[in-house]
Amino acid sequence: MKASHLIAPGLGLTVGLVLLFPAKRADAWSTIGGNLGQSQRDFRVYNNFSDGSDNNNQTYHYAFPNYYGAVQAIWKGCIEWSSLPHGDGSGDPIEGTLGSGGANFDPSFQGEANSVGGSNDNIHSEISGGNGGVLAFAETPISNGWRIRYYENINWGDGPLEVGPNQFDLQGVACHEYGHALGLGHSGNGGATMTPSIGPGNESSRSINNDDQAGVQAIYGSASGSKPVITGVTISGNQITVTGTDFSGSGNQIWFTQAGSGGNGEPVKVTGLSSNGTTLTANIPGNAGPGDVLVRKNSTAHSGLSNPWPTTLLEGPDCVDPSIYCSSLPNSTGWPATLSYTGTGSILANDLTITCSGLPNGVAGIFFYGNNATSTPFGEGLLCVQGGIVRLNVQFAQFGGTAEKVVDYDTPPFDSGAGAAVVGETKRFQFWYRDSMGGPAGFNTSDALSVTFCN
Amino acid sequence: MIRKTPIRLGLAALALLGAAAFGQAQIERLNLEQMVVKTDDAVVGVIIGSEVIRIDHPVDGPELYFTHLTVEGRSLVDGSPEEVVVTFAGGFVDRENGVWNSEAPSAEDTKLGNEIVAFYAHTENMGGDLEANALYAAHGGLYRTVEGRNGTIVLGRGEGYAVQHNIALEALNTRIKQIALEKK
Repeated sequence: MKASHLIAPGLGLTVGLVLLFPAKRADAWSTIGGNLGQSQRDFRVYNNFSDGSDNNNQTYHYAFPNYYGAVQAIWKGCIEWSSLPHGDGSGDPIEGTLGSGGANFDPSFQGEANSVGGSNDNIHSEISGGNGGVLAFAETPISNGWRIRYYENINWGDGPLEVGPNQFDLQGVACHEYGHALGLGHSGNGGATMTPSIGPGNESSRSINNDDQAGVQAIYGSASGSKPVITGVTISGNQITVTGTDFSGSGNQIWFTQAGSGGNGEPVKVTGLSSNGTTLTANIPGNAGPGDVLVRKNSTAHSGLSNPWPTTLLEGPDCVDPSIYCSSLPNSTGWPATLSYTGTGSILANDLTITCSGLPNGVAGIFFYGNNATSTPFGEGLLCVQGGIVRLNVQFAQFGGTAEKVVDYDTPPFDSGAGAAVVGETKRFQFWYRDSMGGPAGFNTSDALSVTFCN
Repeated sequence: MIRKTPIRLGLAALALLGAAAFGQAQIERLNLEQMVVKTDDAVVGVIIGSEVIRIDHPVDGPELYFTHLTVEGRSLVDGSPEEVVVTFAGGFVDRENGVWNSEAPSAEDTKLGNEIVAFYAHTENMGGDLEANALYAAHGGLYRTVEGRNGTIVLGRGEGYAVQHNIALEALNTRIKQIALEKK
């Protein structure tokens, strides 16, 4: 413990000192002794969570493919300790980027277990009953493994959005407990994930803060400049290509998440791989499944293992979040109309909704999309899309000046033909609208949204 | 991967050393009012016994360890003499068998002969079908006392704990009685 709310020991506990508290230092993290070597970086979830709210998240996310409910929440909670953002860092709509540790520490998600396991099998699970006021606990010592249990009688929420006011955030508590598993004790920093207590309706533990980062970096060292880093994964047929930096010339390994459930936590490995330092290629083993891949260079040091990178193991590029580009010019409201979005370009998730805001009330307009970006004068605004234009249905701006399009990849024009959303391809969306009071052209446009489709 | 290596004395000692500095758990954030409302009683007394048991449960799994502490003293709710066994998860049966549980109060806090304030609630199942008086919020339910010039002081545990700041035992007792009366 580097700082404390408690009276400093050894000062003599007299009444005169009762209200004497030491000043808080910037670092308040603590450790419990020990660390997890490369062979203990695996974690699995035994999904025996019994309350409906523990397990009712059915929102697919491309950065956590194929897992839902409690398993997805716990995966997110653990992955927050990764050295670098997990893929593009997305997946938590509340607390921002996932993967913030900055240490020579990275975990390996190994899917679901078939039992609660022993006290050093590195499995998360629910335990029956309750211990009033205790939400969850980690069993250690840590160097040969751990086990994390979540009490059944707690009203858990598995996200991905805010949990209810009477629910405890499973993702945040998983992040806290995994912090114990990797060697951290509690922190006196009230904003840290490792703060000892948390109330219901609070998601703040999902995101580690600078005090937590200082703690994990003290145990494992700050991420080394020679640590392998994955920056992308591409699947072609049965072959995986991992790109990044600082791979060894020979003796590299690619670690995969196991397919299905069970196993003993041991990652599925392809070993003995050579590299030019930035690329690794291997055949995908039959027992590998959707999850994370990691690269272990020819080193057993903490710094020898890369960041985990999510993959479906399906052909196509990684998913990246859509992005706004181009500009919009003021309309008759005096403000420009702008696009925003929720969801992703993931065909599997099928969750993209585009909204145009800042429209004059009641005006008619259309969303349209095409293949290429441009930026040329068009009416009172700019044309930001060209090539293969597809126009969607006319709609009228709602009160408040908004128009919305739910993009459904399973229905026309997105499911086939020239307007089809195809994995690996990019489409660009814009909104055109009439605005007779906004200038001589009588129409205007929004800015634009670029969406690259993925699995 | 190497699994199931026996817990060695060194590791156990290391863990206990760590636990001596902290209790490690995520517990519900409770103030004193909430703690008294949610518990059956608070006892101030001396730890006169300690026992660790192991349960291997068909559903909850193997290697469930629980520590029973026997506390002899008086109730802070009604003042009556009391000897009660309070229980928390974790502990070591012997050097080779046990588990350090992140929620357990520290070894330093649970030494035989310590005077403590303990909040507890009867619980039908603490896991593994163990029915017991749970030390409420585990390390968040146990507070050590020290003798000061003007009487006994209960040591606060900081932000997020039911007893946040150090407080005279009698003042804490008065406050607990008040809350308990309002609870009725």
